[in-house]
Amino acid sequence: MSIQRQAHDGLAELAVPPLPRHLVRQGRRDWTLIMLLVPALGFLAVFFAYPMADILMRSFDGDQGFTLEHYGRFFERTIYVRVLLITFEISGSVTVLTLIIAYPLAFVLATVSRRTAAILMAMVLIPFFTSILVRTYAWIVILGPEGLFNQVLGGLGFDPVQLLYNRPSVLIGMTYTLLPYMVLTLYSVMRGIDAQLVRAAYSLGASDWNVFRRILLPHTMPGIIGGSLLVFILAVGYYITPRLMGGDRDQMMATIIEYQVDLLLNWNFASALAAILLTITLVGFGLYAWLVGLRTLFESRT
Amino acid sequence: MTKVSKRRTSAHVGGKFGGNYSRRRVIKGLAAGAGAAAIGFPNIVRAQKGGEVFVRTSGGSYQDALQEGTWSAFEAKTGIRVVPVAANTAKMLAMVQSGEGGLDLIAGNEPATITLRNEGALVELDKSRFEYTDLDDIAPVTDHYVGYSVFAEVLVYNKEVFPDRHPGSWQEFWDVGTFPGPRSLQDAKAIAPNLEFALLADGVSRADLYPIDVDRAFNKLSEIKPHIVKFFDTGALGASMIAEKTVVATSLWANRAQVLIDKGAPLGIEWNEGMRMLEAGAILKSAKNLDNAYRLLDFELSPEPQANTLPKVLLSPANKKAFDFIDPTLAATLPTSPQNREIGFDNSGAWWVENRDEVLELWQEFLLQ
Repeated sequence: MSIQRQAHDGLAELAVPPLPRHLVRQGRRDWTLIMLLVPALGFLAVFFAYPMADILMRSFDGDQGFTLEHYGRFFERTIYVRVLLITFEISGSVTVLTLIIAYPLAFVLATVSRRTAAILMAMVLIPFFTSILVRTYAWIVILGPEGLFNQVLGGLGFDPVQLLYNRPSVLIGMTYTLLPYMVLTLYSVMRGIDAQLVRAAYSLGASDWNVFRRILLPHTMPGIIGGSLLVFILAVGYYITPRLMGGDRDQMMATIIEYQVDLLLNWNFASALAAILLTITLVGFGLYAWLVGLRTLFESRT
Repeated sequence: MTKVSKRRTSAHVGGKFGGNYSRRRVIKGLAAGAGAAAIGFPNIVRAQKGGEVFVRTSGGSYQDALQEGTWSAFEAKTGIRVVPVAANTAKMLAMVQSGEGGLDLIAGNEPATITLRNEGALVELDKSRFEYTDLDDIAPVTDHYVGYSVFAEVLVYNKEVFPDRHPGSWQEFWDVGTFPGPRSLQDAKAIAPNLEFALLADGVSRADLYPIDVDRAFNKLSEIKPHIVKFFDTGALGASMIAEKTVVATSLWANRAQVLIDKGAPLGIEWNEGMRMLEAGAILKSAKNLDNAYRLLDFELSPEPQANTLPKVLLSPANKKAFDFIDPTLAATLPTSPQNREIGFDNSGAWWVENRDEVLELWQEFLLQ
């Protein structure tokens, strides 16, 4: 079975219809279903809900009990608001870049033969399965002063350029690692478009541009919004890439949280920063659910 | 988690110059990631048997030297197994606060050690328990920590870029006209920013550095900032930037630079205006192997293990008797040799502890400017 088919079917399987009613109705079956959920819920309660609650409580914890001073501090000192803006700026740029690269790629994937699509999909997915740390270091090697990129430039007679430890290198690194999320989201939406619509439009004399604008674009809009929100949400919390590839000005929320935890040992303030980051992420998911519906995250059709 | 990265750290040493850095940095990153992500993963190794001591390690060539020069001899002598564990300050504090143990004996730079002391994380040392070591030979000895070794932060430059004349002082390091090229200096994340060097560049004499005029130091740093590619936030990054020619000059720990030079990197160490810093030994309050921790600390500080371990990585022993066992020509290259002592200065751990938090807050703003 091809990778592409696997991916496709895998996504489709998640959207299986609910169990037949006669199974669910019986009280005994209810209990069975609940018991089936216990391992997952227990795991999440211990390793997700509890630490999360602990962080939230810490963020309101001061010398005299409950306090809002940590949140006040965030807005008092311009630096933290500025870091938040930088975080949005980087995440926004990465979202736009992944969309520009992923859209044509997903279109090709959705239109070529299954065989070719399988090969292309493998090219998208295989790096996705590699550790992010390895991929980030690979980029550091490629972009370094004596790396592949500068060697090619040198061979063409250009001066080497500084491509590491600045904004472009963060954008390259993050766009690269987040690209598959955008490609997969767009691809699943594009697969669901009825090809007859396109044929009908052409048969009625529509130009390529019109087919794109009036058929493809509106039908892929859920994918565009969904993929963008997904990439943006993931980018907002990024740590490794900006830390390793970024310059001194590319501080993101996660890097300043680490600074507070590890250097200043100011864990309550770090918790407040984490809570703010969490809120932003939840708002992102809320938008996603409202605009697209969380179901499309798992579905192969619009 | 720690165990895997530890094993890999020792496995890669001795690799060829070049391809090594990225690998080392991957491992460093793994260790850092593990430290940041998993605060307090129970150490599974513990349960195996008695007769162990868990020691904090920063990995790399330093750990190899400790293994060869100190830990092996200690294990042979006492039968107590030494287990190195990677941990940063936050992780150590979390270990103490949760009472979970997992680390007994720690060694770290003085500011970080004093931070832990101020958080109440260190055992008050019982001086009567030292047998191998005469504490009068050690400097400094405080209630909660003792000096273990002295390392130096120095000006490191690329010899191919500066074959004839190289920047020989921090004033010359700041002189981008005479000595052009991208540079790096230390970020707050790697111990502390180089405020001392900035003041020296601004004409302050070595004797008048402390208390540091913070505003003046930051102003001077702003001057050089456009020429800084990136302030190095780990020793590994500082080493790789100068080795891979991303920068032509940087501040760096002399022992780090020496590792690069030994592997063939065309680097020079300028000892003039080098800053001597203290690595201190202490015992965590949550130590589950208190007796063994005392024994290892006692052993580590004694003259012969110090002599067998520290000079290999260009560190000076804190025990003055150790120099009886060190070849004089080797001793002359160490941070505390009479010659280096004369042209360098001592970092004031005390000043940094008083002012570190404030400087760290300012530093974040400085970076974003």
